[in-house]
Amino acid sequence: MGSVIRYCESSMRNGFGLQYIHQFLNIPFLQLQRECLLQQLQINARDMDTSLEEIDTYARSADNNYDLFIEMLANKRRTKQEALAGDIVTKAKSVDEAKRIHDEAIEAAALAEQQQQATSTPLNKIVQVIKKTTETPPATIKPTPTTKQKPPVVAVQPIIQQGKYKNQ
Amino acid sequence: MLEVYNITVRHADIQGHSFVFNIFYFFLSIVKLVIRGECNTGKSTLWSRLQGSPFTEDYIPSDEIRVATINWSSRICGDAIIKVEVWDVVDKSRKKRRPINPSLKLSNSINASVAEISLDAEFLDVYKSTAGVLFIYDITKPWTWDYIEREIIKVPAHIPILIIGNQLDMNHHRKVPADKCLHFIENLDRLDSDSSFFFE
Repeated sequence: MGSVIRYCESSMRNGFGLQYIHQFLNIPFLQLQRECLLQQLQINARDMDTSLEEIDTYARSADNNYDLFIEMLANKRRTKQEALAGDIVTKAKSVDEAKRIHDEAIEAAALAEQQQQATSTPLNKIVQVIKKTTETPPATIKPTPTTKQKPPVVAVQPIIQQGKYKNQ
Repeated sequence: MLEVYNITVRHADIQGHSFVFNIFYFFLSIVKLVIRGECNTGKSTLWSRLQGSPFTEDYIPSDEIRVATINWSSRICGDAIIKVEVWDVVDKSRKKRRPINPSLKLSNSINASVAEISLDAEFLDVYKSTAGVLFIYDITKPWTWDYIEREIIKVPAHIPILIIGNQLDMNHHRKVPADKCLHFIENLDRLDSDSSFFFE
C-alpha cells in the first residue's frame, strides 16, 4: 500500500465536496489503524523472540539440572531433620571423651564388684554360723481337706522383644 | 493518540453486526487532521464547515492555529464515534513579532518587550502525529496552487493527502484546470511511499 493522494473539488458556499471529505476521512483512519496493528505485530514479534530466548536460557541454566535439583532436595531434607533434632548434635561429645566416660564406668563397676566380694566373705561366715546354731526343722503344717495348700504365686514373666531396641 | 480496547463484550451486545473482531478492536480515540493552504483559500471556512457551521461571506484572516474536534463515524470503524481533531493551520501569524535584539538584556526593567510567540506552522511541526492532510487551494488563483506544489513534498510520505480545489461555484473564473492537478498527483513521487518501513 502506497501513500495516498487524492484530488477533489469543493465549494464551501454550497457545501459541495464536503461529503467527499467526510468519506476521505476513512483513509487516515485506516492508515492510523494500520500503523497501530503493525506496531502490535512488532511488539508481538519482539515478545516472541524474548520468550524464546528466555526458555532457551532456562533450559541451559542450573535451575533445570536434575542432579542439582535432587541434591538441593536432599540438603533441604537434611537441614529439616537437623532442625527437628534440636541441640543434640551440638551437645554431642567427641569420640575420645565418650570412650573415656565409658571406660571409667566399666572401671567403677569392676571396682564395686571387687569391694563387694571382699566384704561379703566374712558376712557369709557369720550368717552360716547363725544358721547352724538356730537351725531347727521347719514346722510343717499338714494339709487337711479344709486347708488345702494353695499353689505358689508365679510372677508373670515380661516379654522382651529381642533386638528391637538394639540400635538405640 | 491511539488506544486499544478489548470489546469482546461490547460486540456481544450488538448481535446484528456480522463483523466481530473477537480478539481486539482497535479504534482511534483521536485522528488528527490538518488543513493547509495559501491565505484566503478557505481553510477556516472548511474548518468551520466541517464543524457544521454555515458559510460566511466575510473574510477574516486567522491569526493562530485553531483546533476543533468533530465527531466522525463510518462503516469501517464499526459505527463507533471517532473524534477527529481538525487543525486550521496558519503558516505565518500576522501578530507582531519580537524585534530581533542581539544585545544582552542587562537592565531589569519591566518595560522590556516580551516576545509574543504565536501558534503557527513556523513555531511547531504540524505534521507530528498527523493522520491526514487536507490541502486546499482556490481554483481561481494560480498562486494558491503553486503553494501546494511547494508544500506537498514536505509532508511525510506515509500521511494520506487530499487536495481540495475550492471555490467551485466560481468555476467560470477558473484559472487552474483540474487536469493539471490530476496530472500533478499522478506524477508525484512521494519517496518511501510504502508503509513497510515500520518493519525495520
